[in-house]
Amino acid sequence: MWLAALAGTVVYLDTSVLGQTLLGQPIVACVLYGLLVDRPEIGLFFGVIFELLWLANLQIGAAKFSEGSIGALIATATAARVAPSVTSGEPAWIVLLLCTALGLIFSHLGRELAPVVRKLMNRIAEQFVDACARGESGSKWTLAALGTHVGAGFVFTLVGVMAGHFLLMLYFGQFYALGPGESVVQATDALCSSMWPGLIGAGSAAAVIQLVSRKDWVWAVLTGLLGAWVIA
Amino acid sequence: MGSVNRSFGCVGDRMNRPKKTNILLRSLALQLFLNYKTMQGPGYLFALKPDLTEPDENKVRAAASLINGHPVFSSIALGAIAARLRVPVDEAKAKEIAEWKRGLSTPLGAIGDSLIWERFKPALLAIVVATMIVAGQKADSVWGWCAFALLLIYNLTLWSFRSWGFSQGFKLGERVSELALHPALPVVRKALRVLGIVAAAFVLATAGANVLHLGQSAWLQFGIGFLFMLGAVFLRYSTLTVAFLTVLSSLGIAYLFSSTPLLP
Repeated sequence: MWLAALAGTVVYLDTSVLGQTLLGQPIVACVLYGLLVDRPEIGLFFGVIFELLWLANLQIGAAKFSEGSIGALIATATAARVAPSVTSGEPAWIVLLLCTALGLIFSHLGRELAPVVRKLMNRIAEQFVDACARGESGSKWTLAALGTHVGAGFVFTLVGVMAGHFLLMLYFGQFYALGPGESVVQATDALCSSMWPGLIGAGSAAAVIQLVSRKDWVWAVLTGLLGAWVIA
Repeated sequence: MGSVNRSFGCVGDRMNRPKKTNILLRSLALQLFLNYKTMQGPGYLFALKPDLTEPDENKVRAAASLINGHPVFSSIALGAIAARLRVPVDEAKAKEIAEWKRGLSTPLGAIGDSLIWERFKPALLAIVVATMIVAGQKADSVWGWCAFALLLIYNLTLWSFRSWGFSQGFKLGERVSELALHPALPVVRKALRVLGIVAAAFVLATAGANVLHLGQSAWLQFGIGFLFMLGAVFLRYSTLTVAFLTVLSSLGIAYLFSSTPLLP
């Protein structure tokens, strides 16, 4: 849980505060986290889904934005705690479904995180400027700003992962970390796996919306469908 | 101002050069102090601190005044402000610089957001995601290379731009907004437009091919998800709403197509 919170902090900082190097993007961060906990397949699943869904989520100006990257990491960290199915060796779809829902909800809740931090930053920034105007280094206020961001990312991710822990405990019982019962997996896999085509379809549309001007939509969609037929 | 600008181009006069690398490295934390009153302003002060060697309240206030642009394109403004703060700044001059800075926000934000946030970044990410989908079972092994290439291409490109932008900004100083008319801009815009179409078509092709073999119900679910997201643009639904509607519809379609009883 602490590792997830630490990873969430890094993701939060990279997404909007420091560097913005893409290290915090779901397709990078989730797989890296998956590798750390030896579940890269979980990281890849959520990396692909959340990256596509939030492709059109722009952090422009003072606008609110969904914390899609942290949501993806919360989903990955929560799902990675559940052992794969003994029969198939793969994660149970019911776990992926519950964690997707959790990640989506926390991504959306994350919209309120930036405004809160920016309001706190009003005062810290003012103090930093005043300190610099007095000829001081302002490092105390720089650390205060950094600490605020680190705290925000850490606490938000921790709350998300803890919520996931209790959600899964509610569903599978307190020993969920040993893996859901095979009967649960067998009964729900067929139904729950149906979320993949739907979400990947929504993600593809998000890519078209974000990357293509409306006048070029037809060409992009036709080329894409033709490409699908060729690849398949 | 003229002598300052000339000295930046002169190899011999190192004393008058701004500490470009230091400033650009600190500019990576431009959004550290992002707030609702002065937006990125204090971040500019933080980045320009190595260049403000002597304590001068007017220069500090001018550097920290309101501005909000794209973090990468802000390197242009940083160069221009660094040049303008090379001369003595009194209270009136500080106010004038603050007004001028405020005016830079719109072009820096509009051009930077439309080129980088709206095209370059999502296009690269979409290509990596599409590669992962097409790699299927081999995605684990190709991910490392893809992620490395993504980080390298994105960050090297943007760092080069930051470096060029800072130099141009420093050279032009007050006239920095002239860069909005740079002849390369339409060419870059056109190239990114093509990149965007290619990336979107690649995602659509790989995602479509991925669900093609899953059967009729999967195609229906894919189509529903696609239409829900497209509809969200017009109906102003959030991604959360679209995702939940998509999942619920997908489960419904799976239930209709399923012959297995859900309950014992």
